[in-house]
Amino acid sequence: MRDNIDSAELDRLISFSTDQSLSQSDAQKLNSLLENSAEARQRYTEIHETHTALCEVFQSKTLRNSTSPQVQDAPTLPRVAASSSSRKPSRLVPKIQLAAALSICLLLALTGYIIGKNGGEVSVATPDLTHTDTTPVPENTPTKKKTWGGVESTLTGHAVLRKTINVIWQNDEHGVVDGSLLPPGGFAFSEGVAVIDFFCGATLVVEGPAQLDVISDWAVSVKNGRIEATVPPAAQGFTVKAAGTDIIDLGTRFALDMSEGKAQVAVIDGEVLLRGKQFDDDLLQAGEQTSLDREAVDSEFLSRIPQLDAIEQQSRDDLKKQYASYRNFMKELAADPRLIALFPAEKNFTGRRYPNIAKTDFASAGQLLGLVETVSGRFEKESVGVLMSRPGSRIRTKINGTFSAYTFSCWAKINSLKHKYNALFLSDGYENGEPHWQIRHDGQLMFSVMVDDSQELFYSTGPNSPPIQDKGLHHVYFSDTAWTPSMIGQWVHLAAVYDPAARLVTQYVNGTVTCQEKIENEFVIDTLQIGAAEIGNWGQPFRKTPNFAVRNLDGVIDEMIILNAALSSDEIHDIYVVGHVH
Amino acid sequence: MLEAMQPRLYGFILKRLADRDQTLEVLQKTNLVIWQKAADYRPGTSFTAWTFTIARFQLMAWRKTLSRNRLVFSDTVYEQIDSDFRPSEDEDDSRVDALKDCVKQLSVDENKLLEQRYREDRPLATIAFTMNMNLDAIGMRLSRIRKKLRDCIQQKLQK
Repeated sequence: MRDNIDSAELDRLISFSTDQSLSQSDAQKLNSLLENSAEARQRYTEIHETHTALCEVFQSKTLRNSTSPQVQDAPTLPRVAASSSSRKPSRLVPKIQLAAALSICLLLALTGYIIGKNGGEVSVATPDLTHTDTTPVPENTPTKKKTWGGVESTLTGHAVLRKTINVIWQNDEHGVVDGSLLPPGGFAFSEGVAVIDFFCGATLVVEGPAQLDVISDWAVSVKNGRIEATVPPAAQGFTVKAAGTDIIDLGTRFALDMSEGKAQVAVIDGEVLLRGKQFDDDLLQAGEQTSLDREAVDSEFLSRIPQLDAIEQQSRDDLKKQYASYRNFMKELAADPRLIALFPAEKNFTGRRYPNIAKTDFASAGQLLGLVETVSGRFEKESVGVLMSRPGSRIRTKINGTFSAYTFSCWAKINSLKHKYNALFLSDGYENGEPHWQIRHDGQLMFSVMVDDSQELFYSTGPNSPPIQDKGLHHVYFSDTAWTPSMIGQWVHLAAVYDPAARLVTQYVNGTVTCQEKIENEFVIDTLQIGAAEIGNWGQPFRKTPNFAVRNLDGVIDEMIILNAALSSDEIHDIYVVGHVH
Repeated sequence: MLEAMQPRLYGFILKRLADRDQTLEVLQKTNLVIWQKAADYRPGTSFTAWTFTIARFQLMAWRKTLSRNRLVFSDTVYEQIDSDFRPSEDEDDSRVDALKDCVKQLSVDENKLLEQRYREDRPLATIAFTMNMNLDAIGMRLSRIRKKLRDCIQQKLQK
């Protein structure tokens, strides 16, 4: 049977007992509640356990230093050990064990402190992406290495996958995309063409089916595939191993056919050295070809070697077709009455206005402000995107009207999450019903809508600055980590759906739900508005000071869709699919 | 290890005294005795249990020296709370692991408050002043956060 206790009062007393000294009357109340109720004592124990765990996770200086003064005042450990040894000389071994144990203890304490310190940050156990290497990387995460100049990031790889065209990976090399680093080891694809730049300077164009093994910056082994290798003077000595032979480049362009059981090489320009098996440092010169396995050379094989120019032209044609179908989709979407604003991936801008092509008249065009740059968008030269790497960069718009739900969808290519909060779309004043959509430095998406801006709070900007007035009751809906440094240079589709009717906030990454959270009663607001707002930055955040938070997105945005509706997961997926460049 | 133990030792004492200032004093005395008696610790046995035993003796001594009206708990309640003295390092470890996950679910504001209260160890009154809130409101907010975390931890541990 449950004890009849006033749990709110009990919680207040327990919580206060952990934070400060209780007044005498509160102390008496707590004592009495605990004395008469096992349930109250259970609750007391649980909250204290949580408090203790919090002390451990967010360890304070007070507790970290609590042992130090005693170490100085107290007899030091060697003295303790010595006095022990004078009483019990025979316990030398245990004494050494103890000293060792305590040394380990201190070491563990330090380790514990470091783990505790790192683990206790706001971004517990999540990487801080504030400063990132701008090198494109695959899924391997940068490790940090101590050097004379401090800590620097290192990555693993011998080559960069510069470009793939219609590649179908054989072993589900998930995460390997254009721009990925290729670490040592094998990879294979069943069809398509890959262009690989080795760090020494050599470039391979490989046509599938292909199976390669990256050995170093200077060497690769080829088991299957048709290859054209270009080796500039800086990369002389680059070696391709095939059919037991080393093909050593002396500054050249050569072709290798290892498809369908063949093993033959032809030099297009310059010369190569062949070593191993039947070869003894034999030179092969421009126009010459040979078999690596004593079979007859197929004189037509050069015509089947991938030609990068032709492949790239094909790729450009494909991209044009895809862009055309994307434009058609956007034209249809523009007529959707649910639209609030639609800033699509445009072929070009006129001036500094990002056209809003929605047929509804809620939103103005986006005005490009500050040092924004228009750069290649998702469809490369077919479309432009807006790069907002400088703090003042922004795309500003004004949106009138009231709404009953929100869907935000955008494509972004992020260089780094260099600020604590990095803007996707933020309304200026953050008044009732206004949305804030951004990414935290640790890669978590944040979506929120102001519920009651009449509640005033103060926000600290630092020890020497006066608190800045912030406002309002709102709840931030966080996603799991949506962005990591491995995604630098990759286009990512992000979406957030705020559905007051269903009491749900759902967030998406690349067309897939990454998190869904219920809107609790106190955070429900169904009359939504936007007003003045910015894509990729935050304008006029605090009204009474000249200070402004730096939240510009260090990256490119080339599409922003806002709807007065909660799109279904299928609709979000469609937007992703049509906008995803293969 | 003693340094790493501090939060748990602090929590152990605070639970029995329900007073932060008194807890810090007893913690200091306990640390001193631990160093003085370091030679008595038998490697291979639980270091945690050993330090808690020392803390219990210090608590008893403390309660004897202090006048009744400065103590939050009567002898009866003290014994009730102390009776479930079962240090379980594994349980504590799992709780801390679960908490680390649970903290991620908190809002930025809630995290900010925990940072100020725990890591920066700022008095409630200072936090209340900078946030322009009254003391009770901050206390209640912390109470709600702890409850939320407790529920989350329990949910995770049940899994």
